[in-house]
Amino acid sequence: MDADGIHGQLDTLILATLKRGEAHGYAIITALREHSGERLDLPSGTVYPALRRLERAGHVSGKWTQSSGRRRRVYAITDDGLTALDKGRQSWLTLREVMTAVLGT
Amino acid sequence: MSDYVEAVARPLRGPRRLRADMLAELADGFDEAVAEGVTSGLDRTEAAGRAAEAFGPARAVAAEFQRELEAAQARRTAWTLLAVLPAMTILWDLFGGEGETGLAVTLLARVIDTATAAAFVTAALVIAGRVGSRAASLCGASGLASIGAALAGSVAIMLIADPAGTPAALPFLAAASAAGSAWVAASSLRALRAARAAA
Repeated sequence: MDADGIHGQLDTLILATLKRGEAHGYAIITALREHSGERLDLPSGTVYPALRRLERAGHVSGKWTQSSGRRRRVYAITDDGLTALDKGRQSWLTLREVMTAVLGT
Repeated sequence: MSDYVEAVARPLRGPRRLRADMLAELADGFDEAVAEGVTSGLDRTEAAGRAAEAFGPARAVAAEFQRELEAAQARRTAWTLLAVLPAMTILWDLFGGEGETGLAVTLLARVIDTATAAAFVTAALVIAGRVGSRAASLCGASGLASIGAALAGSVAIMLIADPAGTPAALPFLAAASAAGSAWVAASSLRALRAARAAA
């Protein structure tokens, strides 16, 4: 699935990834790829601004950490992020129902 | 910095520290993608090309980053307006002298106050999150309009006001106003530049 196919769903996918535990940007990209069975063809560079957008919205919190001599920005989902994730999941399920109903006819 | 990260960085306008912070994070991820390619057997140039392809068009990534920089600059300019404009108004109220100034001067002062109030309200709405994607351009424009009205109004007042009513603290007020105006104007221009880069 390409970027157009998941338009508007990237934030929800990132939140779902972070629900499994805190992670840095590239780990999130890798997790998205693995959890989608390599079917998600996303311009991975867009994950970084999406993380900043989510941070601005209060859905994730980010902080720089030092690990093995390498500085990395690690993100964790917040309570507001969990609420947004539930909302995003619900919205996706509704869209899926609508698409199935329309395409199935 | 890799060619890819440089291409993303080039069009970005906004708060310097945030820009550097975002680019450092992107560069870290890009380096990791390149290292992954090298580990899988590619040479460094091929790995960098593969990573750039996976990260997507630099212009699209830059556009997403620019939206964040624009939002951050809008908030920064809004705080500047909220802090500086009332301070300048209070200074003039405290040290600007009293007495009969005449209708023209009173009207000009009201024009300045109105422009200041409009910029203040715009800034407050931006901080409250009530202004959407146009926050930076609105903040920048209202900040400049406020300073423009204050400068034009002040010059006009100086020309038509009775010199006998000139406040004793005028040099201090003029210096403080010049500093405040320069601060607001610089921040407003940065907001407009960030908004233009995001357009």
